[in-house]
Amino acid sequence: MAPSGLFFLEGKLSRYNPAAKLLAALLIALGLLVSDDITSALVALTIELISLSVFAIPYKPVLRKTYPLFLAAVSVAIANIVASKAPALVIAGISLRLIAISLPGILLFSSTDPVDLADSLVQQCHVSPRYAYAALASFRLLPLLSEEFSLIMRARRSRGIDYGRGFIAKFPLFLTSVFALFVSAIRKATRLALAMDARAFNLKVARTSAREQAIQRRDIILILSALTMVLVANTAGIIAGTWHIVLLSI
Amino acid sequence: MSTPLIQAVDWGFRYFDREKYALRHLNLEIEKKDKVLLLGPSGSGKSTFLHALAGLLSSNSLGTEEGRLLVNGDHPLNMQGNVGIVFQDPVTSLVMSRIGDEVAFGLENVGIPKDVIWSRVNAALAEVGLSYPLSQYTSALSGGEQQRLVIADLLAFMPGIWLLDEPTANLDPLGAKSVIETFFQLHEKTDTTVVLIEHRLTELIKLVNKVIVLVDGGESVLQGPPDEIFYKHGDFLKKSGIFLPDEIIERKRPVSFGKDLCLQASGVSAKHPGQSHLAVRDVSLEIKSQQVLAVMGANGSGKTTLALILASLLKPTQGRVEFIGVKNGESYFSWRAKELVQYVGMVFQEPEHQFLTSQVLKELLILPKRLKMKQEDAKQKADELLERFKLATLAHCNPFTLSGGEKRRLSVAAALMADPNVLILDEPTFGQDANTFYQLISFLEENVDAGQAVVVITHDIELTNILADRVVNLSQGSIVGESYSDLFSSKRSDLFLAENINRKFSQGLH
Repeated sequence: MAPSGLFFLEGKLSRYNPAAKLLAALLIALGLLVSDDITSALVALTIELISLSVFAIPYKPVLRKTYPLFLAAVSVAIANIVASKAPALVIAGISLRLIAISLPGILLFSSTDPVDLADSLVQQCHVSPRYAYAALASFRLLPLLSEEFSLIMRARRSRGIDYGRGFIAKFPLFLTSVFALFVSAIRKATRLALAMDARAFNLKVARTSAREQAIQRRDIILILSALTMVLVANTAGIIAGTWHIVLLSI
Repeated sequence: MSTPLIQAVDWGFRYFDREKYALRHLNLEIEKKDKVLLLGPSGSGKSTFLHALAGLLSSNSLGTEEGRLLVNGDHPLNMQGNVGIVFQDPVTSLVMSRIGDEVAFGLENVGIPKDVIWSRVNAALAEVGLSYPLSQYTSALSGGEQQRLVIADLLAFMPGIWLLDEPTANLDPLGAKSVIETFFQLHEKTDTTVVLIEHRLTELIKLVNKVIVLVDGGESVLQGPPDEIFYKHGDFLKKSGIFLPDEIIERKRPVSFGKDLCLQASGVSAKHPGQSHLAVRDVSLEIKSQQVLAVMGANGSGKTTLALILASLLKPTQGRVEFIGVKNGESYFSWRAKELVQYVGMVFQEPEHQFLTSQVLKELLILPKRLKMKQEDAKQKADELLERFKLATLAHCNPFTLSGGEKRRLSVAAALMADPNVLILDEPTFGQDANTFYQLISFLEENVDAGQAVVVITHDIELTNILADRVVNLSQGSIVGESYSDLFSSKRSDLFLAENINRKFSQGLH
């Protein structure tokens, strides 16, 4: 379990190549942005839910961790019902589509160790190691920020400054605390950057990698499956006659 | 004659945001296999020199360089990979989240093939005695283990030069001991060149065969074998705020049994968000006026959490804290801040967290303003404190630009503006040179004699020996021992005294 306390899925999906998963999720997102009809959204979402069991991902924890997504979908629907005169089916289509597009992305990040993602971005996508590993290192310091923030708040109380009662009294002090947090984050980052350079991170030689990320057959299959799913969903929309290109309507 | 491994010829460096050179006209030579202790008063440019040797001061981005500094006959920037550095704080030295990847990181950077990387990673981890699996998260290690991991990073890297910037300063005595032992074991096996900075002259200086003292910002340099330097220049070093290895720090105050009960904690427990175990477990404690209480214990034993509870900055999940005779009936933890600070002052380990303004004088006047104190009275009191804490000449400087010792003194002065009955200090001597150490102790002695209750959270055994009247030892959030200070020797101790104290505590418990 990652110490950051983030939602992490062990199991089949975590063994796929991160770059391949990223490509698959992108294909699905782009493919589902073509049309705004209900049939293709419904088909896509159904295939996604079925594939959860293909990857042996339990439904319950996924539902529990992704509930904000469903809240978002519902609120999009409510906003549309109130503000637009669109038929109910179109509104339902938009909400389902939101879920169908986001779900693969959530699964991607929750089944991928950040280190593997950085390795894969460098090895398969040829991202500069300077950016990939610097981002990775700063990601490690993120959980420290919330500790730091409560430290700053306490330091203020210890100096005779508190938040008073009520939100309006609190707000200006909240702002100055955020600024103090920002300053201290920069200081920490500077020290980390120094430590990285001390270990020859800025040396201009060909960097090797201790962890190899390879594209295997199952990764190709994953990408092809994503492509197929998008095609099936859109074809279903065309056959049902509900298919409607978004770009043309604008 | 062979050329020296490290050579400074009229070398100087000035950071862009400073008017003064950190070091200037520096001339020195370090031979291969030398083990050098680098000394100098705080702010003398020791760390700047170490950073320069590690190739971390690229002259175009941080400041301007003059003269020549050569490592193996070349500019240090071209020698990266041959020089390794250990910083004070392991948390911001570690790059990767798992120990295997962490040690591998430096080797990847210099282009070592994959198979070689992992054999070197395993060898280095074994060498420093870290027997966890490679996938162990670095955040799960103790401070001492993290610093040993940083040493493993260096070992795998195999640099010819080791630069150690107070490698044990951030560690508790046991963590420091494990790191020091590791250095001794490695020392027997390798013949690398070492440049070491240490404030407290711990056991580590036994490794050293040469001492270099930076004087006047590098304008002149004392160098020679340790015995000669400490014998010949002892008085000068002492005056410059440098601890001497055989320095005996005598206790002046008799042990005090305290006067009135000020603050009473009964059965307090606390948990940090996101953690399942209790940081403080069922602690009961009495704090009395005219007495210094030291709270000791390893890193992570709950010392700081307990201090925050006592200072009403963290609400315990269980138990209560009562300030005797004040605001009976109202919960201590719902006091308004400006009332609180008149009874309890807290000085944090990192002074900067508590600074609120851009001027030393304003830092002291911010509280009287909130308390609606008369302006002349406030100004007079602030001036007195500035005088007493030797900050008067800095009254109009920005607190963030002060030296470490000055920042520490300012944070104590700021807490004293409200005349609190109880003063709590978290690691007040951490990273301080001898001057600030002694000044701080005499300030606190004066306060206690005047009736204040003082609580120090510390793993500095010397501070405890000469200042504390009562010592409480914490382990895993619980009090495991409590004693009066006369239980142990008041003579200068070494790091290993911690064990003796522990032994005495456990004997006392049976």
